[in-house]
Amino acid sequence: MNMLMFLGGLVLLVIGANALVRGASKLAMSFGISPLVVGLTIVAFGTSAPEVAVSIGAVLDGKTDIAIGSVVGSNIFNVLFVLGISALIAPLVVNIQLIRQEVPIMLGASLLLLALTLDGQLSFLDGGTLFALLVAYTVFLVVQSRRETQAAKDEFADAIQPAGAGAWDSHWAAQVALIAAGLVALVFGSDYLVKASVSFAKAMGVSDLVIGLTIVAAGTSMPEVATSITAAIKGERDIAVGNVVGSNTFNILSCLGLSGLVSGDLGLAIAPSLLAFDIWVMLAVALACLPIFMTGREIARWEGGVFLGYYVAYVAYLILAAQQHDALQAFSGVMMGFVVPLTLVTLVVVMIRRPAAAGEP
Amino acid sequence: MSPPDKLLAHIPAAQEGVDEAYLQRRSVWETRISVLISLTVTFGLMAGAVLVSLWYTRGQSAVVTPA
Repeated sequence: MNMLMFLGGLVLLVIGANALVRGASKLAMSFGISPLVVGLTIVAFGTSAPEVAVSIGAVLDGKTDIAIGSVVGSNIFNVLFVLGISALIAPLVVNIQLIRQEVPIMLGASLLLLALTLDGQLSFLDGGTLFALLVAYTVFLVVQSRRETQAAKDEFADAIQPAGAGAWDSHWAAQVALIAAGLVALVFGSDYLVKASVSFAKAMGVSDLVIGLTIVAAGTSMPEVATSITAAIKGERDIAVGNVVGSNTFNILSCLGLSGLVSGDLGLAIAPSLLAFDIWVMLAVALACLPIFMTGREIARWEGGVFLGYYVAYVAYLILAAQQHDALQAFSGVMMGFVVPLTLVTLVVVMIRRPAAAGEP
Repeated sequence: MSPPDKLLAHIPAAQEGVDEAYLQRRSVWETRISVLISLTVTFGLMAGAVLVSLWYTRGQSAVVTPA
């Protein structure tokens, strides 16, 4: 029953996000807004809609660990799992703008989140700060889109088509109905997903936080998984990376911004384990993007494999820690004493051998 | 205890049960409606921010005339 509720919630979240993006995109384009602006704002925000709905629903339900865990877990999942799998399918090309602008913004948002939560809570004011930055980032993207090259505009125009005359969704009423249906599906999807997740946590004897960091995070990232893997298979290899980086920035600014705002005077309590470990992992993963993206401006298959391996190791650590397993100490020792230093040395060597790639026009 | 007393004795318990179920249902719907309102306000604000920034930078090529 719980599994059905969880899967039903996931399906509703994905359908809701799709309906919302489709309705809002067509409506925006029927008002004359360019596909480029639609792609940078509506589509980017829409893929984060499941995370937003789940975070708000969880906070209002009093399950704050699920709200924060799902965002931190999603950001780790997006880079390590989504980019890892996509790069294994085909080496991913990294657009220079991502290295110069989007990755530093994602890193900045991650650092800001760490700074805001160091006092053990995300207050109403912290949430307001993150949300104000989200609005500022959106305005910045729109203003910047005015300076985009014709090639970039054409790329978005190919990907995002306006409703054809006579199509069922060409009328504004159908587009508004799609938006409304999408919102309702998101509400019910988040409700079912949160309830099923809490039941899973109880049944498995683990905390809400662990479920938020793993199952909920992976579930709400399904739109990103679909978009990135489809893009990698189709050969649109820079879209796969841009989608993940943009989504991570939106996740922090929108989900946690709104969660802080709806929590009111109480604020969101940050679990000590999240503050001591998971947020640092999220930051390290965001930081690792820079050298990996800069080496040859691509994510090679072996780098994708490393990402995926680290995701498996991270989940294994969470499970061992949740069960207080005997192997936890040995596992941590091998990771910190051998695997992580070896990865760092490898990244440094690769960067030294291919230093000029990031500076290329 | 007479039959009417027995009946009366059951009423508070039954009423309590009904109230609890009702309160739980109300709480679930309050949460759902709050999520809906939060999402709608957020998307509305974001749409407003996009429209205002487009308006401030109007006259350039990003706004195209619909066919």
